[in-house]
Amino acid sequence: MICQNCNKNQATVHYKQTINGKHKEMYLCPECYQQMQGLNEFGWTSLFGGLVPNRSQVLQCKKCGTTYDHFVNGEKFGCANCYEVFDEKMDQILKRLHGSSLHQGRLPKEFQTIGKASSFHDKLNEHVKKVSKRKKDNEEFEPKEDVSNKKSFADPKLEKIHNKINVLKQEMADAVKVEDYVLAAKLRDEIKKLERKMEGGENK
Amino acid sequence: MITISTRVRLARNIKNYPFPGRMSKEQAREIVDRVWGVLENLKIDGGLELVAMNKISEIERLSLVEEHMISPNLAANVDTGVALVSKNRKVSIMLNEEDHVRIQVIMKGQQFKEALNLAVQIDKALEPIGYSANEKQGYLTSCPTNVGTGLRVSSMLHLAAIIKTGNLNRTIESCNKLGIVVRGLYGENSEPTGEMVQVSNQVSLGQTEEELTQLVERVSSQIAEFELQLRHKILKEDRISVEDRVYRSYGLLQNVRRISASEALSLLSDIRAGVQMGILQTVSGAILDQLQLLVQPAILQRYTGRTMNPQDRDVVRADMLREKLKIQK
Repeated sequence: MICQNCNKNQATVHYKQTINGKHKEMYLCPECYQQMQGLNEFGWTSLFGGLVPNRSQVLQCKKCGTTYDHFVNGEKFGCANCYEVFDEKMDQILKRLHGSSLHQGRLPKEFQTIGKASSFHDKLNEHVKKVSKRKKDNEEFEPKEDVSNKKSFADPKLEKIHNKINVLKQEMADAVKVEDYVLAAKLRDEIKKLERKMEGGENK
Repeated sequence: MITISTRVRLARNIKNYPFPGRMSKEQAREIVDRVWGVLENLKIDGGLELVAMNKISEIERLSLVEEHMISPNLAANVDTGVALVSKNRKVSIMLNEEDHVRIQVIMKGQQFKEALNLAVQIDKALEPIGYSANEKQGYLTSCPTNVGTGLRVSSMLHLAAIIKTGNLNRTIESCNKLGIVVRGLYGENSEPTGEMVQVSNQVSLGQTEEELTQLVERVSSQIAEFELQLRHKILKEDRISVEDRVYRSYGLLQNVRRISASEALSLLSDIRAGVQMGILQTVSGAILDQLQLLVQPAILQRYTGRTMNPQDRDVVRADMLREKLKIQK
């Protein structure tokens, strides 16, 4: 398929967006997708990474003094900040070591935005069960409305937040269905918070 | 009976401090004060006792290593290393090792879920201290091999038949393909002592704590099953050779006048297998577990209350073994 923006290159990105209920769907080439997203930090660093081959030699954590070369030569990281300083290399290193660069397990409470939602989720599940029991005899359960939108991201952090927003939106729709407006309002606030966070991340 | 013990370890670091490799002595002491401030009154496993490496003798430090309560690394960090050890020795929390905090739980036999639950319980109790973490990479550790869950689940397996029949390398290779590491008892590059190996997860990122624990549990059970099949097979094929080996080892341990730790451990391995295969009935599993510890150099010296050179130790070890195995007759 040809890119729907420049009509020249091969489209490799399927871009879907929903703003205020309006759906927008496009097939784009990587260049046009990058343009649409604006050149984010990731784009710049990989550009520089290609131009300056020895960039790793000047990568140094200002907090503890560890350089990337220290690390390559078998030293350990000096502090938590090193993970941010060497972020550009981290995904590659972690994929090699663990076959993955994304954490799936437990997290401290302060990082659990999705954890908060899951307590709503438990509550919500109870409601859904009750209502579906009532409905079962009379009518078929309505198929769920798809409120998600799929989008690919250069930054996995953003992708994670985006996925969380989708989950919360689905939960909000369910909450409205079972007429739990208190829960729905809480979910709406949580979604707004995450959306602001994401905008901040994309405009970096 | 093949799985001697189960161990779970969680690596954690505290926010706003450099990792131990780049920390000042003052900061290391602050870490101890802050962690102890939270855990001092913890009502888990009979409560914890603070053991500072600079307050105990070298023999005591090495005994703790031989008991697997602390790592050789922590024992070497005499200045600032601290272990918080529970009364029944199930829990040991190492401070200022490679990471600020390493929560370790050891349980007898196969108790994977129980050990993970206890470690997580302690982790939650300490969490208000503020851990270094982020959503993408999980818990941050000084070595990226531990990042994510910070979890290492391991089991200690007695593989007498697998090792004697030359099947260890084959077993190690199949384990590696499944993301499981097999090594000697004292960590990387150590040789299997007394035919005991440690089986643990290779990765700590990208899977949940439960998934990693289940993986180690599943592979450990499969190795144990293979070991049992092999024991059954060699017993069926050549019972007299197996019996001869077990009784020779038993006879040696009851009569030696001088013996090294590694020889004692390898003879004890034969006896343990013999007891489990129903050949020897006069020795209890409890005494074997006790001897397994007592024959080791530092624990032997702590037990006898004497500091000795290796030659004297070999004589005292032989005396101790004869005495202990006589009671069993």
